[in-house]
Amino acid sequence: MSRASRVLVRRCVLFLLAAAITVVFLFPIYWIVSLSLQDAITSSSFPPHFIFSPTFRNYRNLFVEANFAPVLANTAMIALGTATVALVLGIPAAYALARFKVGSGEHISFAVLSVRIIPSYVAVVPLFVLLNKLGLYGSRSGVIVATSVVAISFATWMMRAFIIAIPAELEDAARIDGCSRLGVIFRVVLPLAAPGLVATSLFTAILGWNDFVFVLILGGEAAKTMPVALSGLVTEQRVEWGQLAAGGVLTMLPVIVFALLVRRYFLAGIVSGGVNE
Amino acid sequence: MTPAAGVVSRRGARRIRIPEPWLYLGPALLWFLMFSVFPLVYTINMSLRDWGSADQPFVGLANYAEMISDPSLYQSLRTTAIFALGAISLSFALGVAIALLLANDDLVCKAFFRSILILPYVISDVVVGISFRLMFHPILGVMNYVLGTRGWDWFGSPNLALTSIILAVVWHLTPFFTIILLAGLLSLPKEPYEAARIDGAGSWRLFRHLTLPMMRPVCQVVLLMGVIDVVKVFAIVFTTTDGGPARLTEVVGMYVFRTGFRYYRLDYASAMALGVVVAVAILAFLAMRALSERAGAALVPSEVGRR
Repeated sequence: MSRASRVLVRRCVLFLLAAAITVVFLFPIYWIVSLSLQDAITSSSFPPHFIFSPTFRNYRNLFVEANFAPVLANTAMIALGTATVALVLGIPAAYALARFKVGSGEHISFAVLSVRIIPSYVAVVPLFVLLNKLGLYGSRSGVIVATSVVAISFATWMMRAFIIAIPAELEDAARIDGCSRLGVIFRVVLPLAAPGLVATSLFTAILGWNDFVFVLILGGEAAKTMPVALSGLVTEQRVEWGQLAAGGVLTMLPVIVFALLVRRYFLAGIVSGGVNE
Repeated sequence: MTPAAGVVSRRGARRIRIPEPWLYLGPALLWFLMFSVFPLVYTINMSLRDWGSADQPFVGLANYAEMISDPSLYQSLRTTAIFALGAISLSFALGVAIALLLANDDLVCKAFFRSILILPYVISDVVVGISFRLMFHPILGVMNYVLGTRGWDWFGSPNLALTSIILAVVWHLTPFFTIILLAGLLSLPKEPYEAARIDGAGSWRLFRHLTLPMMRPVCQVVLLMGVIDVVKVFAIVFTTTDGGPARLTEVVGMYVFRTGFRYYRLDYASAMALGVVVAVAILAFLAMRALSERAGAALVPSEVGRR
């Protein structure tokens, strides 16, 4: 076999292998999307249907029958709130850690990591008692207080890396031209760190959107979000497959879109503990 | 009036300037103090009391003594260990294989595969649990149809439940290993490979004697992060088996949750929660030591700084 054709065969084999892995790994996503588009009879028959005429009735029923509109609104509010608190508190902290010598780098990374390692089922035990005392139990703000702790540490860590990448000389130049420190942050640092800002806000929003334990235990009925509402549907005796699948799709779709938008920063995000609680 | 006073006042002015970084760090630190450090200290307080009684009397180490003689706790720790071992070894092995594939120069559409294969990791644990429950349903599930295993009750049978949860977690966690290992592979220097190839080394020997040793620090970091992530698993178990059948899949997170929020024994749950914190802190300490080696430390800034 000639060298050229050997390379060709090799490329084909590698491509087919990657394609096969992709099919296996995307199958659960494909399947939940497919179930969400089937009517009740199709989705509850065996053998399962791979070809069917799609319907959006499950999505309609989710809002008309199961009253998911406030749940979806809660999810969005908590995602937005988590991202806002994380950025407002995290950016100044990140700036301080990037531009000043505060403690040793090791101490700081330990502080950041120590927040990331505590499982939420552990953190939620005292918060349940304390938020009850503060009268924040069953409110969105109570949930945001809980989700923001990890989100702030994540935002600080991630934004710090972006700010370090900006040459300090640019700031000095602006300072010499008479710009205040705050002016430097808003006119020089943040515009230059804009991609990082977008990535960080999306990652922290995903943290709030995906959260389960804090919402389950601290949110009560009033602050229920998509993941908790769906877990409630699954434990009921009569499970509405189509609605459950439709809810699952609505929960994962924004996250998938966000993740693809910031995929370039995905590694940094994962290492510093974004995405998952 | 005297030069000395001038020095004092200038020093005073400088003293206000010195804490500038702390001005920026302050709000975040205060937030941590209020909602992370204080709650943790409060957990210690809860664990030393009988929280169920009216005046919550101090009971010393009674809750900790109960931990030592609690068969359910040991059972849940054993389950967590088996679960962690299974989930991590499987997803690590898969992660290595997929990362090697995605790092190969001869793979076409690399960018496409790299971005599409991260998706299972970003999906909410609850949605992972739900989609596996739908796929693995004993009567209507597509898995029994595809695999020809008619009537297998994946999440409901004592023999299969833990394995099924492991499969769901492996699906969710493999992309995590893949991304970090892939970044490690792509940052390896090229020169040793060229030199070894000139010396006539085959691809297996390149992998065995170059890739493996050079990837060791990254592997250590990623495995420890994986262990920490697996100890945190809760929602996937909650939505698929809820710890059943017969508590066979009750990982430690499920047990803490059941004690605290189904039996409302917040004192005992606090004691166990602190136990988990200590255990995870030891793991994290190991992770930090591995992280301070160049591999882990290099991961974050290099990727962010690129382009």
